Amino acid sequence: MLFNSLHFLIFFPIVVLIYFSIPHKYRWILLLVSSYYFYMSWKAEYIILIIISTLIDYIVAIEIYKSKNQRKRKFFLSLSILVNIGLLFAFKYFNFFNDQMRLLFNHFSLAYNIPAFKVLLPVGISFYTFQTLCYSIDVYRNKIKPLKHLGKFAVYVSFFPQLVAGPIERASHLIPQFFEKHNFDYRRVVQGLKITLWGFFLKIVVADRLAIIVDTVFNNIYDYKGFSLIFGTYFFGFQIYCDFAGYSFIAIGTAKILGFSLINNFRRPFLAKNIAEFWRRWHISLSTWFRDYAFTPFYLKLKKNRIISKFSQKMQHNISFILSTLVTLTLLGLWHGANWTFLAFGFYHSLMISLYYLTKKYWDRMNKYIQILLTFHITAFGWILFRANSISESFYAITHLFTGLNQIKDYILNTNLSKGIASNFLGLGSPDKILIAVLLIGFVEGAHILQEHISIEKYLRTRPFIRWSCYLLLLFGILLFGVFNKTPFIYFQF
Amino acid sequence: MIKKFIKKTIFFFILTSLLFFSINMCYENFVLKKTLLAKTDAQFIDANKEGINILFLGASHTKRGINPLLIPNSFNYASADENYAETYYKLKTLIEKKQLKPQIIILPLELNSFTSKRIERFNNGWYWKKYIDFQEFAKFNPKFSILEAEITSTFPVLGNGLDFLSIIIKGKSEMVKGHKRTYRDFSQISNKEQEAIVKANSHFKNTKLIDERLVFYLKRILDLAKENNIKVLVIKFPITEEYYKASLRYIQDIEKFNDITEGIVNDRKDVILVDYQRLYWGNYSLFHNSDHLNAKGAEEFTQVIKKDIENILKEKNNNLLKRKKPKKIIFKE
Repeated sequence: MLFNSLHFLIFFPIVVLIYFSIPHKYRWILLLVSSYYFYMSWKAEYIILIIISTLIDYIVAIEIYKSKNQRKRKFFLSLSILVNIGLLFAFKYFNFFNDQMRLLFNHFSLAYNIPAFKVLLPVGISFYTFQTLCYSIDVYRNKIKPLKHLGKFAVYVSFFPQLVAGPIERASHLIPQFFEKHNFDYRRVVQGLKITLWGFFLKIVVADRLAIIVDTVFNNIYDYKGFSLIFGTYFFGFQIYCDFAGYSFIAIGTAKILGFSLINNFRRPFLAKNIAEFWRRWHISLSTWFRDYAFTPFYLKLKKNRIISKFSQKMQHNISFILSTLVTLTLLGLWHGANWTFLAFGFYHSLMISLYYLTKKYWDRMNKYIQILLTFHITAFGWILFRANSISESFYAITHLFTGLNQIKDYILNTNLSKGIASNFLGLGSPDKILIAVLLIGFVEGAHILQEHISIEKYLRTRPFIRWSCYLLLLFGILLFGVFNKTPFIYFQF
Repeated sequence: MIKKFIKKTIFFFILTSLLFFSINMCYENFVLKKTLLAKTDAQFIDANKEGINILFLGASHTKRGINPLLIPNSFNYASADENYAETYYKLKTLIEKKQLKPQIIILPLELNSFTSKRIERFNNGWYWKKYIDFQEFAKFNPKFSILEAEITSTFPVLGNGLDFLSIIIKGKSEMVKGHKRTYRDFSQISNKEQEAIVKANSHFKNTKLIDERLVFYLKRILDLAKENNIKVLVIKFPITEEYYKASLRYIQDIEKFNDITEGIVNDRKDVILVDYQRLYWGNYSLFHNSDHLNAKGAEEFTQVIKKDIENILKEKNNNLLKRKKPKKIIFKE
């Protein structure tokens, strides 16, 4: 079920109504049934994967906790990793690696007969497998105790607001909330509604409008060059932000209405002053997941490495840090999808972060606004790798970004509005649509800049007229300027 | 606390509903009434008073490419983006409910007439609900949601707020007897190839080239015409060479493609198909863009079509229409 569908607009109020009408002890049943229904309305049979992941991690966590034998504990943890990563590999990465092997075998004229695994990628598999995985690891690390209530654990794995595209919740944060009684709290519900409204605005109005322009360019990349590609890349940066942050806000808002608090996934990432800060503001639940469960253990392991430990303390840190960053960020890139482009995206970001740390003392001396602008452009360059459909397409885009830049001049010279000639701006769409897209981006980033300096929430609290005007502005923005073609969220494919 | 919430929710709901209904009403009165669709309907009523014998149907190629002022008792009832399903329901309504009985209808057969894109989008519900039986349409289109269609057709302003700009920004096109006249001159465009590629991409990328549902609806149109003794002329409209070549990037086997699409029409003995795709190759000043004629082009082309129609109608008088369909389609260059 998509958040931006009529189906969800009917489903959610019904769930809320029943949720607050039934006693607390039965609410987990409602949440479980509604979460499974939410998922099954996309593809019913894939619920089995969630059930497998749930059962394995439920049992494994209890066994890890019970066992005093370290080898046994390790065995159960490995089992959890094997099952979750196995599911992920089978459904998401198998065909990619299989294709690469086939290419390799063909290159050496060898026979290769392993067929492709023809199945749809289960929506949200990367999110719920990572969520259950961190639960088992946390139990293994004695950070949390295993949950004995299978039903509530199943709700933790499948909680519908964040099931298909996160935020990836830590067990220590979300599970205790299933035991708390959530009464109907007017302020909390209103706050949840406001967050949801903002999420819908970002998705339906901004992201989906930008998507029309972005898809025109990136789905036909060889037909574009110069400013068309540059605009397409900028627009994609804002599209993916508004799409994913929009989803996260709807998830956070709807969970809040039900009384749950989810981790904030985005913190105005395009105002980051360096690339490391960007990752502390972008997809926070994933970047912290990789920090805690991949980067840190790897870094500590490297530091203890026999060869590395021979260097000075500073060098030990630098080598371990850079190597861990390279591995972690590359894996993070690959997490997004089975394509060389995502691998390149991750690798590129790991290089940029390493470079930043090596040049930190010079970078940090720069003017704040130049830092923001440069960081924005570093990330924008990364979006080309992320959005292009293949490595060769991204190579084409990168090598053609600055060719044919006289397009704008040609466009102006050819434009004769009185004859209605200016119907298509650089092949991106009609000029009014481009203008609207730019205005929408300005509106969103304007709000972000404002939020960076003052608390909009606090400001509006004492000004009911402005507050209500803002609600109406957003609501009517969605109703009048929304794109209602049920465009799926970009992160659903991951 | 719940009481407070309910009270405020009701207040908010009433306020937004009132506002929304008002905006929707403004949209219907100030925007929709000025749309080409509404104007076409109004011009149709006037034209119908004088009698309509020749009816041009279809999408933007027809809309821009035929000037009915040059053909007595004719009307251009095409609309942009119209697909065969919509044309079928429109024709059915005209015949059954408005008792219109033209002697001949003229339909387009374009390279992108059968793409899935054309039937999978449903726009302008406010207009099509007059013609389309949503229940029946949904039977043949499993993805079509009747509820959503009802909502969008009742509240056409949903997602279309940008159209309010049309009140401020006046379009440069005009309309006569359903024909949209535009004066853009494609010969003045420096990068014709690029524009054609962008157009072809928008028509053919990520879509099935021949959607069975559209084939089905074209057959239904032909059946409906036959049942009502209406002759049918099917034409392939003039396009530029650039657009034709750009389309071939997607239609790799054009021969096979033509065999299939033309076959639907050629199977009918009483239907004539004429191919004018290459008629104006190199003559860019007749085009609005890479695949549409401008007002000047429409005037020239209408004269050509007029002769074809006269021939077909004459054949009827001389009882010559019973002749067999020519094996090869007429190819005018």
